[in-house]
Amino acid sequence: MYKNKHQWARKIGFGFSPNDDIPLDINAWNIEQLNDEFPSFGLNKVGLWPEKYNFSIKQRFERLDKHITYRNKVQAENIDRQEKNKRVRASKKEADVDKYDVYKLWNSAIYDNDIFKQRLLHFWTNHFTVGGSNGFRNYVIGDLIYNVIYKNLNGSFDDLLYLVTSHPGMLDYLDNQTSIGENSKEAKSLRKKGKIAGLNDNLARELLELHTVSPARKYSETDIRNTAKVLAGWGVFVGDFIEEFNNHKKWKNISGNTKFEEFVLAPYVKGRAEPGKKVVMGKTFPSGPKALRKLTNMLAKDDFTAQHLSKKLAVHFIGENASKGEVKVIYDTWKKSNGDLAAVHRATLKVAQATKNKKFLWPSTWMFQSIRVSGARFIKENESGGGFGRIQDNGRPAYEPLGILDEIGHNFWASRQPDGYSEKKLDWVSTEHLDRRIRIASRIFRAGPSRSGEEIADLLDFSDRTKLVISKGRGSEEKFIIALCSSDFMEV
Amino acid sequence: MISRRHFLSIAAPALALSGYPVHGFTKEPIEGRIIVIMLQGGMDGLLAIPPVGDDNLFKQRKALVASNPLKLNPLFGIHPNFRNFSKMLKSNEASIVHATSFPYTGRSHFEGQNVAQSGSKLPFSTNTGWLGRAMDFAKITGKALSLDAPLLIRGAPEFDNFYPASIEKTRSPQTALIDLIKETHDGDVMIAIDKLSRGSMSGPSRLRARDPLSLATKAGESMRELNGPRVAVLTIPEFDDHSSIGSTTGHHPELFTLLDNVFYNLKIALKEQWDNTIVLTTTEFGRTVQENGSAGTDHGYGSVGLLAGGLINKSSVVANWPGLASKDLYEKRDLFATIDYRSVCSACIEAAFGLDHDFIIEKVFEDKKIARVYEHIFG
Amino acid sequence: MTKIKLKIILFVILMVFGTQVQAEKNVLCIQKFLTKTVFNPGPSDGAWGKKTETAINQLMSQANNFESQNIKKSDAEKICKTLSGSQGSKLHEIGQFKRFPIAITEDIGEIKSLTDFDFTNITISTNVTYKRCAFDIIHSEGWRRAKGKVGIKNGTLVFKNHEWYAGLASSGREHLLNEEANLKLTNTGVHGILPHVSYVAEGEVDKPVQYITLGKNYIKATKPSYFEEGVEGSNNYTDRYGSTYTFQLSFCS
Repeated sequence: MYKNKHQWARKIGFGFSPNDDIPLDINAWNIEQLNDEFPSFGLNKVGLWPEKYNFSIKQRFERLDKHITYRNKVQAENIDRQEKNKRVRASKKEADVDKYDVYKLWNSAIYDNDIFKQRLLHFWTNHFTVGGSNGFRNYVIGDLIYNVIYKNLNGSFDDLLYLVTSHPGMLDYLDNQTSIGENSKEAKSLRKKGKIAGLNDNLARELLELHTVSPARKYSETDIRNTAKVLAGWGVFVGDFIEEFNNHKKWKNISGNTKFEEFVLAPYVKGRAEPGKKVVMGKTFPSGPKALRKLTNMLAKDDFTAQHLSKKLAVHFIGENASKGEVKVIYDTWKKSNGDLAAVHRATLKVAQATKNKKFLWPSTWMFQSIRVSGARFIKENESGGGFGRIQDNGRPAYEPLGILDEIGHNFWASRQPDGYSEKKLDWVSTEHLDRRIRIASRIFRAGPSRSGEEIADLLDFSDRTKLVISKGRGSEEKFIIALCSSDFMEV
Repeated sequence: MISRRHFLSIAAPALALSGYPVHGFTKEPIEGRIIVIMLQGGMDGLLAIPPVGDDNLFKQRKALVASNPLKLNPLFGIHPNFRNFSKMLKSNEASIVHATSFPYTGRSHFEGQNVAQSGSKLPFSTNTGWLGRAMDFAKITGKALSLDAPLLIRGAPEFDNFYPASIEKTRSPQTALIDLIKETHDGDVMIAIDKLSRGSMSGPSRLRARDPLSLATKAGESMRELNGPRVAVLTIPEFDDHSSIGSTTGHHPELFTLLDNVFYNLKIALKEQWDNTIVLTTTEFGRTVQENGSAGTDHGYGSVGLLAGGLINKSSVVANWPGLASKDLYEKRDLFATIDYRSVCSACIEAAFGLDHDFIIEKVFEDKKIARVYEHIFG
Repeated sequence: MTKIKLKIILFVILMVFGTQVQAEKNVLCIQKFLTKTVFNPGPSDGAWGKKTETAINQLMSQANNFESQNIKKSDAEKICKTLSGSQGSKLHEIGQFKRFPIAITEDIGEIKSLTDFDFTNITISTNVTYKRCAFDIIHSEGWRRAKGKVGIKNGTLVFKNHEWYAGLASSGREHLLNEEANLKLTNTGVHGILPHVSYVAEGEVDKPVQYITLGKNYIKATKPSYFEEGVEGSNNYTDRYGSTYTFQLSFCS
C-alpha cells in the first residue's frame, strides 16, 4: 500500500516536483488521466508543448521529402564537395524531427501532469520496439510514440496492435518493406529480370513471439511463414513512398485511400502482396489488405496474448516478483474487457497500489524521477520556444538529451534488439550502470535542485538506515547523490 | 538487450569446491585466458565460411556467396574480409568449427541468446552463464566489455564490466562517496557498488572509445597484466540481416571485417599473453541456407564458430559436414548442426582453465553426453 | 602317396585359409572400430576395400597432425592392435569429428602497411613551408575524426601531435582517444557501423610524429565560412568504401 502520495506517484509515474499541485484524490486523478483526451493535463508551469513541434505523419514525410529532394539536387550540382556537404547538412538539420521528439519525451516526463500515462507510454513504446535511426526511421519513431501509441492508450489492444504493425516505422524496422509475396506481380516481374524476390519472416516472427502470443502458444514455422504472407505487400520503400503518393490516382486505385495520412499509415501495395488464402494457427485469412486487421484481431484476442501482456505489465509496474494473483487481476480484466486498455491499465493501477513488491527502476525512469522530484532545472524550460532541450550547467549548453539516454543505456531511439529493454533488475545492476547513476546524480545536483538530499529522504519516507547514511555525506552534493542513488530511491 | 538472469543460485555447486583444488583439474591450473565474442543476431556461417567444395552451396544460394573466397582446403573457403583471421589460420593460431550450434532449434533470438549464454538446453531455465560457472569452479575473474553484465559471465565469484563513461563534466566518483551509497543497499546492488568502490574500472581516464575495436584493445591490454582479468566478453550486434545481407561486400561482410579486426586487436594488445589465450565466437543460431526474398537470410540452425589464440597448435576446420542438399537440411531449410557448440566451449574451458572434460560437462553444463573436441581444436 | 599328397594339399589349404581368416579378422576389427567413428569404412565384411583403406588412413592422418599415412592391407594386424590397445579410446575420440587441414596457397597479402594512412590524393605545392598548422580530418557527414598540429616543410607534412576520434562513425559520437593510443586512419575507412580506427602494431607507423609526402599541386581551397581566420586550405580523401574525409589545414604560422 502506498500511503505516501509522493511514493505512489513514483510507483506509477515520475513523482511530484516541488511545483506540482498534489491532487487530493490521487486515485481519481490517476483514472482521470486515463480517460482524458490527448493532450491530457497540459504542462505545468512551463507552458504547453509548442504545437509547432508536434509533427503529424504528413509533416514528417514532407520534411523528409523536402530534404531528399534538396539533397539530390545539390549532389547533382557542379560545386565543391565541401560546400555540397555543408548544404546537405544544413538541410538535414532543418528537416530533422527526432530531436524534438526526444525533447518531448524528456519534457513530458519531467513536467507533464499525466505521469501514469507517460509511464504507460514508455512501457508500450518499449513493448513495440522500433529503433535504430537509419535516416528514415528517425523521422517516424516519434509518430509511432506520440500519434499512435499515446493516442491509443485508452483504446482497445486490437486497434493499437493493428496500427503499430502497419506503421511505416515498424514495417521498416523489421524489414517488411522488402518482403514480397512469392506469387505477387512484382515478384514475378523481378524474377523475369533475374532478380530475387520473395518473403522474409522478420516482422512475422516478432509479431507472434514478442508482440502478441509469445512462444508459449507453440505456433509452427508454417504459421510464421503464413503470417509473413499476410504481411507481404505492407510497407513501401521510402523512395517510392512519396513518388507513389504523388502518383495519386494509381495509389487510390490500389488502396482506396485518398488522404496522405491514410496512405502512409496503411502502406499496402497490392502488386507486392501474396495472392490467395493463408492459414495461420488454424484460421483462414483472405487475400487483400483487410487480412492484416483480421490477423491482428485474432492475435489480440488470443488467450496467450492476454497472459503474456498481463504478466509484462505487472512486471513493469510491480516488479519481477509480481505474484500470480497480481498478474491474474490484470489478466482477468483483460479477458473480461476483451483487451480494453483503459480497463487493463486501471487494473494495473489497482494491483500496483496494493502490492508490497518493489520495482528496480529503469535508468530513464530513475533519471526523470530524480530531476522531477528534486526540482532541478535539468532541462531548460520551453516557454521561450526553441531554446529548450539542452542540459544546462552554469548556463552553458552541454549534452543533448539523446546522448544522455545513450549514456545510461536506455534510449528509445537507439538501435537495439526488437524485444526492447529488460525489466529484470540484474540486467541493470553492474558497476558501470551504477557509475552512470552517480555521475548523472552529480550532474542533476549541479543543475540546481530545489530539494536537498535530506528533504527528498523526508518527503519519500526513506528508511532510517538511508537517512543516517545521507547525514554522513560530506557536503550537500554528496548528500544529494546518496539520496538519489540509495536503494530507497532506485527501488519503489 | 538480452534477457539475463540472477547468479546467486549457483551457491550449491560452489560449495562442492570447498576442497579446492579438486579433482576437476587435469593438470596444474594454467594461466589461460578466454575471450568470448558474442555475435548477436545470428551470424550466417555459410557466408563467413562457405563450403565451396560442396556443389549444393551454389545450387541453394544464388547470390549470397562471395565472389572471391580464400580457399582453405578442398571443401572450405573463407570470406575475403577475414584477412587477419586467415593469416592466423595460416600460422596455426586459429581454427574453425562448422555446422555447429548450441542445442536450440527454436529460431527465436531471445531464447537462442539465452541458451548460448546459459549453456542450458532449456531457455530461461537458469540464472547463471556457462562461462560464469566455469570461472566459479576455477576461481578466476573476468570482465564484460559492456554497460551491463551479461548472463554469460554471471555465476563467477568475481565478475565485473567495463564500459567507459562519456558524460561531460563528470569524473569517476570518489571511493568514500561510493562506500556510503553502498551502505544503503543489499544483495546484488551492494556487491556491484562494492566492486565500483574498489576501482575495478581502472584505466586511462581519457580512453573513452566504446566501439568493439577499442574495447578489444582495452580488453587485451588489461588481460596481459599480471593480475588482470582472465576472461573477457565482448558483443558485436546487428548480425540479424533479413534483408540485403551482402555477399562480397555489404552488411554482413562489413561485420566480418569488424570481427576480423577485433581478433587482430586482441592479438596485438595481448602481446605475449596471446600464447595463453583462446578467443571464441558464439552466436544464437545460423541463418537459412537459401536466401529469402529480400536478399537476406532468415533465422536458421547450424552456423560456424571461429577460434583463435596461441593455445591452438594446429589450425583446421572441424566439421562433420552434413551436406547442403535439401534432404540433408534441418527441416529442409537450415544447415544441420552436427557438433554441439557446448563441446567447443568445454574444450576452451579445458584448455584455458585446466578443468577436466568430464568435470566440465557434469558441473558446468550438467549434461554428460557432451562430446570432447579438445583433441580436435587443441590437440 | 595319395594320402600324403592329400595331407599336404590339406595342409596348404589350411595354411592359406588360416592366414585368410586371420587377415579378415583384423580387417573386421578395423572396420568395426571405424563404424563407431565418422570415417566410413563401408560394410563391415572383413574385406579390405578402398573405403576401408581411405577411412583408416584419414583417421590415422588426423591423429598424427595430418601427416599423410600409407596404411595397406598388410598393416591390418598392427593397426588392429593399436586400435584395441591403450591408444584405442583416444583414437575413438578423435574419430568422432573430422578435421580438415588448412592449406592456404593464395597470398593473403599485406594487411597493414604505411600506405593505409593514405592521403596521397592530397596535393600540396613543394614550395609551401609552415612551421605549424592546425589540422582536422572531417568525415563528409561532418564528424571530426582527428585533430592536431602539423608542420609543412617543402610540401611535406610533418605531424606533430594529433588526437584521433574513435567510435561508431555512423552515430557521430565523439570518443576521444589519447594520442598514445597508437591509432591511425586506415583505408578500410569509415563505412556503415564500422569504426575507422584500429590498433597499430609496433614499428608499423612512426609515432608520435608521422611523415606524409603529398603531391605537387596543392590547391588553395575556398575559405569555409565556419572558420574565422587563417584557413590555409583543404582537400579530400576517399577511402575504399567511398567515405570521404576532408583534410583541412588552418591557422598556419
